[in-house]
Amino acid sequence: MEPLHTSPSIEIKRITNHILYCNWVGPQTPESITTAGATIIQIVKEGDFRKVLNDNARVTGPWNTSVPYTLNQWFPAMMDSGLKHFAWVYSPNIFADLSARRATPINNIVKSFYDYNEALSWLAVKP
Amino acid sequence: MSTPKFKYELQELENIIVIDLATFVEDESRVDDWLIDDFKDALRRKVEKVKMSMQHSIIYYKDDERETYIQEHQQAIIRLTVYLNTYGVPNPAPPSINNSGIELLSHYLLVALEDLLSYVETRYAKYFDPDTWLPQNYLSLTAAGLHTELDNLHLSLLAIGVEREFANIILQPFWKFAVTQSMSTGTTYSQTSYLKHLKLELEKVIKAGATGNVSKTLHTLLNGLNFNSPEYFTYCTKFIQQELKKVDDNDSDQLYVLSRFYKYLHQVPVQLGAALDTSRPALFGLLADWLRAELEYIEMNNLGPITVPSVQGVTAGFKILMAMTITQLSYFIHVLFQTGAILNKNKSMVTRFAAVIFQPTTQESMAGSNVRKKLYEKNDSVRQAVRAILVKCIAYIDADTGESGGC
Repeated sequence: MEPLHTSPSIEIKRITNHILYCNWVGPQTPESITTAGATIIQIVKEGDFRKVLNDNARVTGPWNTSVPYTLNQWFPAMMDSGLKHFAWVYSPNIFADLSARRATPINNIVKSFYDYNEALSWLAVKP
Repeated sequence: MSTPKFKYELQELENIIVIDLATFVEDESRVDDWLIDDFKDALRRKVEKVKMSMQHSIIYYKDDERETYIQEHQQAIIRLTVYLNTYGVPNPAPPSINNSGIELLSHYLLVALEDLLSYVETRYAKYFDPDTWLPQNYLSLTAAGLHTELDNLHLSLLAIGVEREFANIILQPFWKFAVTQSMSTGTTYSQTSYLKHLKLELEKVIKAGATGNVSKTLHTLLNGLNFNSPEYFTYCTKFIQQELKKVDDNDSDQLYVLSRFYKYLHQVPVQLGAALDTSRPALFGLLADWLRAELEYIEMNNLGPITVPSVQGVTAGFKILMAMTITQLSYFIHVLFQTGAILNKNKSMVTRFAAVIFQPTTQESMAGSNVRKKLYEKNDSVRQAVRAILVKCIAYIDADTGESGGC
């Protein structure tokens, strides 16, 4: 995987030409989420990524205050930037998991998983 | 904390308690209303999942393994309950500026663990260890739960016609537990379970409303559950004494009243092993002893001696010698009563009369009270001895019938 961006809260890598890997790490704050969110939008737009594997497996603690931003601003912006399929690996941490569930839009673009390989397999067969 | 031998069903709950809550504190996280609601829902789902898994897993184990499986999970639930204290005292108070909500999260986890413990106890009572020690936070939760409902319970009992003194006696152990969070002899699961069970049963009586004899229903319930508080025992004896006063100066009627209570007491099925206070004697025994003492007192002191009319050709003081002990003789008379061979209503009079005219083989006292007391002392050897005598009688009749050419 080719590293594209690294910060204390996230690692962003290219898996294939169209699949972007976002690996969130540790506790998340509203600032870390909006900053990393803007970076992802930019990379998706510039790199022509249609598919994103959003991995929350290493996220700890709640980030519920950023749920409205994620749901109402970030996802629409991602779709405007060309996002077609979004595999979301939820965290085993219950608080991070509950936050992610709240932030997950109900549509055909986003699908949730608890396993990286399953998420990648789902994305791999998507156009 | 996990159990190596069996499938450990509590792993997800343990991860939340041991890992997620620790991270929550470490990250200085806070909760808000919707997170709390989602957390409660998630816990409910996880608890249901554990219940389903236990139900599923247990069928694959042999009976002795099941006991270990259940008791290991029971202990694991208690351990997790104790572990919650790591995060302070579980508290249902909402988060504030000085409160991140960790005590509230602990509180909901405690509720979830209590639900699981109740499930294991109810569903797998056969394998459950009722003498499990309970941690203080679990007791606090149980006490708080009871405390909030006591006023309603009290009013509801009064509303269906239970007299205030009786209602107070019934609810006294609940008040005591709610305040001190312990009963008189330490606190184990069986003791808190007793109060929970009693509360459910009281709610059933309340739900049925003031139909029928509510007081009798409650006495049957309390006797069946061995509600052996000194106050209840005193209340019962006081009640019987009031009934006796109604038939004052009529010894036969008093004996009838006492016999009626004695019969009632013996006919209430007592739940095996149930006791409000395991350190005190059983209610049944206390009341039975009290009733027996009353019966004997009336028989010995209030009734005059029975005079046997003199019969021509029979020496004064003559007695029929019976090849039975006094216990066997008493049981024999009991059998005659029960099978309708003796038609007298006054059992006391018959036994006293038997004491005058029969002489057993042993040198036991043939006082009427002794014969009557033995009416209630039955055991297998006595039954077998009386049966042998009756079988011998029947064999004789059969042989006699054969010799005389009867049917």
